[in-house]
Amino acid sequence: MDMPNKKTKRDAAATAKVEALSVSKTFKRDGGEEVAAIGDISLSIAEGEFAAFIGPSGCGKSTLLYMVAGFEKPTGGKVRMNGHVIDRPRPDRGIVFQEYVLFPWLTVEGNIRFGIDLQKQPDADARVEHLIKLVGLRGFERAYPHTLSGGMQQRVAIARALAYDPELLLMDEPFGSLDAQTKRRMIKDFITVWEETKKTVIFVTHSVEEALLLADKVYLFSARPSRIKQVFSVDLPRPRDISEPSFIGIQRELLASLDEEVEKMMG
Amino acid sequence: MSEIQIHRAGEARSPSAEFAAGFGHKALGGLRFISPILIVLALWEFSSRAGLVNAVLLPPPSAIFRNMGRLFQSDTGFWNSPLVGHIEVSLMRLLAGYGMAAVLCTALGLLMGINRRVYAFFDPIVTVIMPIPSLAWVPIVILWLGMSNATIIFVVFLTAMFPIIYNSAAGVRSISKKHLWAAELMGASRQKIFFKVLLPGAMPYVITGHILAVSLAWRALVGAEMLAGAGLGLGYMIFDARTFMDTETVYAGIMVIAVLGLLIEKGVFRPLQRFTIERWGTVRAG
Ligand SMILES: Nc1ncnc2c1ncn2[C@@H]1O[C@H](COP(=O)(O)OP(=O)(O)O)[C@@H](O)[C@H]1O
Ligand SMILES: [Mg+2]
Repeated sequence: MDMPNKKTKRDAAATAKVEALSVSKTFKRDGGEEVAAIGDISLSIAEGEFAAFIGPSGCGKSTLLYMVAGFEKPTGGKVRMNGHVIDRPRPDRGIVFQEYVLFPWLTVEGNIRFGIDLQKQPDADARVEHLIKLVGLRGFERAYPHTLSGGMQQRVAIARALAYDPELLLMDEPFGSLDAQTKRRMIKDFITVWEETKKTVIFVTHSVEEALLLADKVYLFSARPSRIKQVFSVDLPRPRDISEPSFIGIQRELLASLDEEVEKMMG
Repeated sequence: MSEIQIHRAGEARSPSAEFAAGFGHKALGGLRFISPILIVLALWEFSSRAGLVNAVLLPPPSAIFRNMGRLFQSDTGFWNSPLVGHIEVSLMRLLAGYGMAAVLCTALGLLMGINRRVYAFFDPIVTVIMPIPSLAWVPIVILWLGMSNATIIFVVFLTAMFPIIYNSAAGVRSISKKHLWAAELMGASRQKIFFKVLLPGAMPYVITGHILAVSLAWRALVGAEMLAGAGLGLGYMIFDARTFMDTETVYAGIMVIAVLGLLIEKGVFRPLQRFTIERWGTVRAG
């Protein structure tokens, strides 16, 4: 996976990888009542950045992620990638959902190959083999997803999203349904994977610890209709130590700010 | 102490478990399946011979099997025997009616699953017609098509239609939006999404629909043949034998129907299930 990053015609330094410009999103419920999920969000994520979205539940983190993926359209404003407005899902992005969303009729290998085969990319076998090794799935190539634990299934999903070499990896609470122990291991292993691939990542989470262990920048969403309340830069080398004073300091600050928003959401 | 007991229990189980895992498992399963049937046949044989029941209404199984043997014989060999003839006609009718339904109705069901408007149009129609017992159609179909093969095939088709349509549509609709999104993001065109996601994703339901269709169609076929068999088919054979009080032939026919029904289900659909949805872990209850 050590391919050089594809540069667009514009200078990568001048153009953010992902930009949201005054984005808003309103949903119409079945009853006709409107829900303003995202109020007004502007942000800019740099090439190679590991960005985490955190905020109270229902504040529109997934919605914004799906707009970056091209699954949803903003009601107002623009979402851009490499300087171009995102029009539809394209394979320059990869996604990992909380619920794995693997194809149960394909083996581990079949799932990982899915994107590569669709795009008829060369060296499929070598890439799949490398990824299987990288995410720690060796020996499970021929297994069907339902025979694997949640953690293993999520490893498959991560490999599947990276396999066709997208520029941007979108992750929607990927470790949210794993037990605490598996989650710690996944975070540690994912740091290794990310350090090898150096993709730009947007990682949605509701765990302050997870965000601070992984991200370069943590974007804190306010209560609904959301805006970006605060951006935390985490300039600590990885792997990070949760017992280190600098980690604890930033964690306390982030938690306090998040709690304020959760309180607002509650009533 | 308890640890030792657990260990012993494990030891005691392992040889039999190993035995059961291989060929022995199948043989044992087969024996378990066949024994109760043999016991009932033995009781039946005894009651009939001992005169506990009317031997004309309930002839002994031995006589039924002897008669079945005769029905499988002819001057020009097994393949030209009357019973093989009836079986052949019944199976051809089943295949023709089910085959048409399989092609047309799987396609319609999938289309309903994909397209909201097609679904909105056909769903109420399917919902209203589905609960009608297919034999209720026989009189009107006889008026349309006469006492002919076409009538029987059409009734089989009608019976097989609805479970296939209903389940194929439900199969497509069961696929989560996120699966489609994931495929789309990985660069799948609409055509690729159909073949690589919708079709395999709907498969568990589609297979259920087809199993249901064939088993219902097999039942309807026999009934329709009694009413419009036109001289051929297992249903006709049974009905015709009854008018001559030839109960041995009636029972022989019933047994053949039972065995063929079982063979179709266990021999065709079970393996299909095993190689697809059981491997994928997407088996549906029921
Ligand atoms: N398709 C939809 N239709 C209606 N409401 C939606 C839809 N998707 C999300 N919402 C609503 O928008 C809000 C934000 O949702 P979401 O982005 O999933 O929040 P988060 O991921 O931050 O928990 C929630 O109130 C949710 O109920
Ligand atoms: Mg969410």
